[in-house]
Amino acid sequence: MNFNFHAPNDSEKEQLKQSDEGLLRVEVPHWAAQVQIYNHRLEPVQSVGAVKSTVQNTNVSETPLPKGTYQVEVTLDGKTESEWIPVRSDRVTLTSQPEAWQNLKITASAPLEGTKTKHEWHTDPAQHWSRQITWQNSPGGDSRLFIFVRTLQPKKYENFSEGLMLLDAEGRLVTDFSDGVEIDRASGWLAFNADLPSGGYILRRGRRGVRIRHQPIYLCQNQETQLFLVSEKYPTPRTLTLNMAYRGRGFEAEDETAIAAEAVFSSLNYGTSHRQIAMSETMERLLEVKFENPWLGIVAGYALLLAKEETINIGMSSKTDFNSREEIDRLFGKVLNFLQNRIGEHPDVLALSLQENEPPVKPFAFPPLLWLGVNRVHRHSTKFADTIPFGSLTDCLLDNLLNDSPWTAWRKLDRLPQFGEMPEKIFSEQKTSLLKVKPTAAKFFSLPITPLNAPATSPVFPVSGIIQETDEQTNLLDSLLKQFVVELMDTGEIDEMPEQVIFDSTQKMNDVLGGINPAEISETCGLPLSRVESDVAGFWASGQESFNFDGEIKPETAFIAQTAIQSSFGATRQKNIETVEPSISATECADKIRIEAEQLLFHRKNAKTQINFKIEDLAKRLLRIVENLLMSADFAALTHPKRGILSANVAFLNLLLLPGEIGLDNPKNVEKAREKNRRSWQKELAKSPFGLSSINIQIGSATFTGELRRTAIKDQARNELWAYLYFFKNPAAIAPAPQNLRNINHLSSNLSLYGTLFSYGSDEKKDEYLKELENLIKKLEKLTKI
Amino acid sequence: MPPEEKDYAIVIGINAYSKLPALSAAQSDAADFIEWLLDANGGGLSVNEVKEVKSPETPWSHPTQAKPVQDDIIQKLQEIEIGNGTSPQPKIGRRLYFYFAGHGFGPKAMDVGMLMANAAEPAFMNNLGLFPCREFFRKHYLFDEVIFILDCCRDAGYSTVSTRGFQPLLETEQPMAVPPVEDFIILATPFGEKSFAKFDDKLNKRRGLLTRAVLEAFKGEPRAADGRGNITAFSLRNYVNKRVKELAQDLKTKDEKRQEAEIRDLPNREIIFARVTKKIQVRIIAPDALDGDLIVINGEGDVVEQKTAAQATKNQTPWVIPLLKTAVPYSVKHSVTEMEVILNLGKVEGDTHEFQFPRP
Repeated sequence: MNFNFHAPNDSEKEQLKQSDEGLLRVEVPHWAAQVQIYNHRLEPVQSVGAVKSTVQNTNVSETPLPKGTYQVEVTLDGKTESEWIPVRSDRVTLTSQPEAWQNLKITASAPLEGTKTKHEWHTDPAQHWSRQITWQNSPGGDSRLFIFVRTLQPKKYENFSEGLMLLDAEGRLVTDFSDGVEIDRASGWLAFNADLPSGGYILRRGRRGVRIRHQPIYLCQNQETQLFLVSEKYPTPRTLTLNMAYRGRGFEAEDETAIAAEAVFSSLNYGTSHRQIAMSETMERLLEVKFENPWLGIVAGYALLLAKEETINIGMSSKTDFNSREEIDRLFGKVLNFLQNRIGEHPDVLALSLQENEPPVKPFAFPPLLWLGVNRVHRHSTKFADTIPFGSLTDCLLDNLLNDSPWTAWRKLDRLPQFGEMPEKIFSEQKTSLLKVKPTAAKFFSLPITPLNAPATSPVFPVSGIIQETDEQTNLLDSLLKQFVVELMDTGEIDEMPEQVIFDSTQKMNDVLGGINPAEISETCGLPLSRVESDVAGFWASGQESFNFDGEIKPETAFIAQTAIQSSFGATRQKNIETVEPSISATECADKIRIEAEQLLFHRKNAKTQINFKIEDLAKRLLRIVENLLMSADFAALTHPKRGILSANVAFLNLLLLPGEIGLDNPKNVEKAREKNRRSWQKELAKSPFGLSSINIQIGSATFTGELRRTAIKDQARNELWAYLYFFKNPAAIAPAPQNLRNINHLSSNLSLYGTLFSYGSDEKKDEYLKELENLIKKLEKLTKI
Repeated sequence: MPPEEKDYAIVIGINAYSKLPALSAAQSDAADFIEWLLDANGGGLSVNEVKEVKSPETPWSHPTQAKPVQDDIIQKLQEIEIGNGTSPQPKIGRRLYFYFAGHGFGPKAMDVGMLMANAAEPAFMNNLGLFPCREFFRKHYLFDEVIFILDCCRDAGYSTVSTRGFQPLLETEQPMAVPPVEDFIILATPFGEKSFAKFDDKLNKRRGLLTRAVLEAFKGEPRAADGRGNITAFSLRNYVNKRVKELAQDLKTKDEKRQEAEIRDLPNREIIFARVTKKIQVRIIAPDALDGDLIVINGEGDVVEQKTAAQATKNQTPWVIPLLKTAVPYSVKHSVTEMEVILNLGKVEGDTHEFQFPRP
């Protein structure tokens, strides 16, 4: 690209403050285009001139800059193009739109002026039919809905408009657009225009071979809502264009507020700088001077909230950021005030109005139309039970929200919403709800029990899991049992455990549930407070005073109970952590080294090559180091009389995980080896007497001789033997000295690093990495000959 | 070098999750990053300065068994601190590279939840959050600079999930007033979007698009250098943004093609990762019978060389200038008409190049 310059005129000269400055004047394709400028260090220029519309109907950004070559980057509708442009001292660089920028245009489903897909054969009928009622037999009402579906390839897609339905807020059919519409298949458009009662509706798309999709829409009193959908084989609500105006005003292709709303909506879709677009000169003019488009207000409201988030730079707010935040707050206040006066009942306006620490003005039984609004409402609902009523459409769709556009949308729900009292029937053909529910609601609720997954250095008995997936009741009982055992370990009674201890599962569960704070649970796991409250109430719903383990427990209820167990346990464990310095244990080192042995075996090739023999040899040497380290460990395991090992500490787990002779290159072999180990250990442990006895076992190639203590845990509430706790150690074993342990730990970190490099690093360095591994193993062998 | 002037790294690569789909490129990406860190011509770190966290090759399926978890990462940070000695200063080193490849989610527009191996839906509670980690480093001044490189998805829809930091295990003292810590954040994708990996024919393995682009830049890709040949946080942003987009175009689905990196909150002071010194011998050719001079100007706007146009025509002794190959172009200006043409060497192959100045 060639550039020319001219000497600055008087007004241009005024902008140039330094002697080496020139003026960069760039023409951009749209007022909503975002301009970024970078200098020769590729550092962004802070004060880029705002895009202004000129009398010649062009959009221009002017920035005074020191001489140099600058990268000018223009973004519109999620697409970015850049050009290098020189700036010279005391000169104005003249650039008309570079070729690359001319392809930057807004794409909209509405045939709006200046958009990529505007065609007169759609603009004219859209403008005409938005002012004419097409559904004469509609029930009528205080609001209007105009829907325009169009295809850009009418010859190819004759059935472009099929598969759409309009449902009321409770999912009952309002119309399937088979009549009351105007359609021109040759030009590829369908128009629907009807007066309807204000309130929530659902646009449903779906027919044979087309994935079902639901999107909420909301009609406000005395307003008309215009929806535009583009279609190929089927209409695409994902790219819906929405606009609002006073009832009867109709669609105007040249309405700059509608174009502005689309530009802002696009910024919500593509995540570009909301600050630049929300604070642009044209936006400010539209919001300050001729503000009359409520939909522009809604999207601008969200963009302003996001723009404010952009300015929050933790710990280092600049004055500019502060000023921007103040300006954003002022503009947001103005937008919200307008929206509250004009369409205060709209769910997105209510979502924008939510205050963090105040209850909602109105519950959100019907969701906001934009996903950002649902997010806002969801967050608020973890503090206030009234925000999302339990069982409402908003509550149900939270589990099935689609994330492919800024619109709130779902395909099928896990649960059918409860609508409370049915409102007055307004449509002639009343049918049942058409909202689809999944045949099996398979939402997976699995709570990883973090605090139990304690590092081996932890002073507590780190009961990790060998956990079989069972039913919710059993999982709850297992969690309680583990908590009980961990508490026993915490109090240091492990060495003095009697032959039998009594535990009351119901009492323990009642204690846990009695201490539940639904607000805390809601905040921890992100479920709406109303749902948590309902689930908590369900614990006692049977009228009994105690928790009933024998009754059916829903996955979500179990999830909440697990969270409660975890938080009651977390508090205990936290106390312990605070008092103990982090340290390193031999078991932890053994665990790390075993993982490396496994990794080496995993990446060994089957071929009988020298290098593979070498890898195998190194892995075996590592396993021997593990065995040596485990000799001085304390082992603990919890077993169920029928289900075998429930959980164990890291030392015991290492016994089960030691791979032995079975190859590790096949995950099935690994599982088999572990299963075999587990069975033989279960058998071995079951033979031991209650109380104190001696134990003589093989750990890999070494013999371990020590003391074993077996305790039966009885559940008083269920009057059954619940579990056995095994604890064994070799009192004569000498643990590595602390300094040695630190060295072992350090070497095992390096071992892990080279293990990764050997397994995943570049092929040409494999020999080098293998050598490093061998050196490390030698050092470890020396240190672990205890 | 005193320890507090050294650079350190925590590199996390998690392929195996107990309740989420396994990943194929995370550990391999982490290994590539470690190789660059340990390269004397790359990051220049020693083995003891790089702390690595990974998932085992044959994990167990239950979350309570899964590794790594938050504590494992905290432990690595403690290892750096311990290895650094007993300096009374809170500062550990000059720079920390914090690299993560694994599953992630976007709880908020400004935050990223790095999912640990025991993470599970719907609550995703076992995570490490970018925002709290960043806050931790800013408060405690352990390093002058912290470079976060997170090659993970940022799926939205989890706005109520809180992300976790290094507290409480590391936050034992009240933070004190500290000099500003520079942090630089390189994310694989914008809020709400997914990140992807692609098969790299050269290396014969799958690689995350972000890691690939970042490492190309760190290894001295000329298009990642600024006008002075430095690969800095600013120039890296420019290159990685373009490169990830370019790499994504070769992927299959629409969603995959959408991937774009997000690099934000550029540092206030310059952070240099590498330098480019390669020069190209560029011959400038003027059109016949052109009055005045041709002037070669660099990105800063300074004159590199100037010659009478008549002496730079095709038939004259070649006018050859060694010019640095970087992302920032030079320009050639005609002194009489002031017409200027951009001379972009970024994509030039080979060691020589001919540039024909057009007739004004």
